[in-house]
Amino acid sequence: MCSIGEEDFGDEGGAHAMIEDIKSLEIVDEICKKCSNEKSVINIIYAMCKTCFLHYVTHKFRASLSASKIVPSNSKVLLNFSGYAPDVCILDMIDKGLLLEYHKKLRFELEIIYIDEDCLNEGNDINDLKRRYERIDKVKKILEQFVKFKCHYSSIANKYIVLPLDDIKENDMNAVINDEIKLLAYLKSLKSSTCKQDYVDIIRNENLRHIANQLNCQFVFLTDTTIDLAKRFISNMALGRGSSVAFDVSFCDDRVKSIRFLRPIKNVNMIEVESYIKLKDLDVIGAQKEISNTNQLSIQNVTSQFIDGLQQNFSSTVSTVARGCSKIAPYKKSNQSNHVNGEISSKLNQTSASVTDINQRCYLCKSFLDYQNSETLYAIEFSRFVSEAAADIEHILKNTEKIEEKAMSEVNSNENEFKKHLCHGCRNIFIGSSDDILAEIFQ
Amino acid sequence: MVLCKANCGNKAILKRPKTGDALCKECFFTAFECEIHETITKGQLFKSGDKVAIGASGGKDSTVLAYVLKLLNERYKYNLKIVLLSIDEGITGYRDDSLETVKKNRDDYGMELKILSYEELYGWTMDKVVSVIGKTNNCTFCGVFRRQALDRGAKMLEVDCVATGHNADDIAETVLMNILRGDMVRLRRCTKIKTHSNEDAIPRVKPLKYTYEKEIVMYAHFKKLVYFSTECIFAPNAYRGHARMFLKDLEKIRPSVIMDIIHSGEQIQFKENIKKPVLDICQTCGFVSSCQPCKACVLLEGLNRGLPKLGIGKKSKGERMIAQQNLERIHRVKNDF
Repeated sequence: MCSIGEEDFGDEGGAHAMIEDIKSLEIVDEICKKCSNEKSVINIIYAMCKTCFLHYVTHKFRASLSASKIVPSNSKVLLNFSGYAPDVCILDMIDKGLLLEYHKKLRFELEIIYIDEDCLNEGNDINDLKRRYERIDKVKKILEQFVKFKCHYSSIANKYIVLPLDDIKENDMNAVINDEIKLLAYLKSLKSSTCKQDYVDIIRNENLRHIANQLNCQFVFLTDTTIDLAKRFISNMALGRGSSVAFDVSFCDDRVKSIRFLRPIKNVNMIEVESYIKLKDLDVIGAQKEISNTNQLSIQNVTSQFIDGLQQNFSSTVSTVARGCSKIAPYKKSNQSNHVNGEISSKLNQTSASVTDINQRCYLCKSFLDYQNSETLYAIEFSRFVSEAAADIEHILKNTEKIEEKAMSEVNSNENEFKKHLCHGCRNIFIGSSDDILAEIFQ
Repeated sequence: MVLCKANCGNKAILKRPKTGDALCKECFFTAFECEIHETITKGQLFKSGDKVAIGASGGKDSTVLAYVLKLLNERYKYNLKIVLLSIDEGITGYRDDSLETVKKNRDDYGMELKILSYEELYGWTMDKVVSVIGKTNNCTFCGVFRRQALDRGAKMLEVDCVATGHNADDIAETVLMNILRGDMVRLRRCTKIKTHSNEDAIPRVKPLKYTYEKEIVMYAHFKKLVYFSTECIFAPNAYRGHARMFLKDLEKIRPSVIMDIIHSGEQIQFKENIKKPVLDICQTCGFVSSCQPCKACVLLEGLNRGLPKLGIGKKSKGERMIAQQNLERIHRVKNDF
């Protein structure tokens, strides 16, 4: 049958009208269209010389910061740095911005955190200290290209470890390895690569907030580019995180008001980042941060491949998706009556005092709880209960109200002390895992 | 041997993608039908005494919808008058064959059938449209005309609502498509189970919103329902094909992804400054539209003027094409004198 839904057709014509682009990025031998002086070196929106291109990228970065006016003078900012091209690109722009003349000078204090995620790649031997030190040395060497910033080291496995990057001793690494073994054992108990990746994304954010708090930084700069946002927008929708996706793809993620995540190069695409690095001849570890275990089938990896494919043939679609990110807002319920009782709620209040309206938040990702009275989640639970009772239609007819109540109770997790504190996306992480595994995160 | 989850003692014949439960054939029928009934009652899709038109294409979704709606109407005494409404786009070798299936449904289910053709509504069949526009933008014409044709048919039949066979997979796919197109307006409304374009318009409802395509196919197969399953000869929709393949790949990893995407689509919220469409009545044809004149009228004008690309792309481009043609006509008239 016709596979084209009526929803495809709006005032601007059909979706199928999106045609493959044949845009060429070839450097053309002509004069810069912007300054009309220099010979062009790149053709992004038009032919540009090196100076104009670098100014164009820097302007995107600075404009996002100045338009939002979120970062006040003398704030402390933490940069999440792994040594990849977007990290180096943003660090270079900050480095130059801090040295500028009075009116254009960036007025914040920067510190850098390198979070070691070596253990997440299944191919890596976590006990191979030589290899691990080499990696850290490589990051240090990249950082030497810039003004001396305070640089810290931490591990994805333990947010409490924050060490000076210049001085990591063997004892410290041994402690890190112990924590990594525990984290890997926990990840093993989660049922799929999708769940593992989703959980790691959440603890990475949690670690960054904790470290920023420890270092007295109010802001964390993330180095997400346009394609990262497009990938995250779609994969988070597929993970059932529609209610919180706006936080994960917006310029400012302020779900925890005391520590805000900012994405100052969200409007810069990877071609621009790579060209910036090339033209400034900067040293990097690689172009884009590798996602661990890309060979495994997961929602995130399949989405990433899908978007990479679109980038090749329909590059305008990737920027369209990224532009959509700026049109969505975080989910809020005006009069949400989420009664949280018992031990966990008091623990929640104790451990996360900085989150003012914690009773409405997911314990893990800190977004608003989204399951209450969801019709779709209700349909899933109703389906489960009706399947169980399907042998006797008379029984279903007589007990429909009871089945409905049970289904609604399951959606609202009235029987489960842990699940009621998690949003739908975070509940999905623990699909098929025992309640003991779920309970561990509350300890 | 896997036994049926409902403890009836029978061997399970399928694993339900939504929940992972294994069921035997009879228990699957019961669960499948009860769920659609629950969707109808919870969503308050119909009122007692309503006249409901099923948008019938002869495909699996509308065939299953017609069968189940008739069955539930009798079982739960909805007191509905159900009619079939089909649109004949005029595609030789495709629609003429599928309409035969719809006619068989009419006879099997004892429902009145109304067939409206593009030719009688617009004076153009899709075969003729393709002969002038080619196979690049033909789906725009077909989709825009069909949307309006259903409204016209519903008005002619004086029905209270139109039920369409959109299933859970279709809705999840549309959520993804709207994100890929950056169409936040449609993203906002595509997950709604009941849509009103305005208060006077006839609402559209989707009773199969939470029903997986795989289960619809299984239901039709086990019930031996007759449906038409050929792809349209004019629809090489590469872009939607990409999105569909992507969704199928995701579903292989986590079957519940379809419901998760619908849940996400329902939960997502938009910034207050994002414009909402203002729905109005087209001053040319009198049907609901968000622009003046409506898209169907612009496309039709283009076909009748010999400018088939008039409604494709930007409005300003279309206006320039009209101005150019008018100028040429004036010159021609002057030269004739």
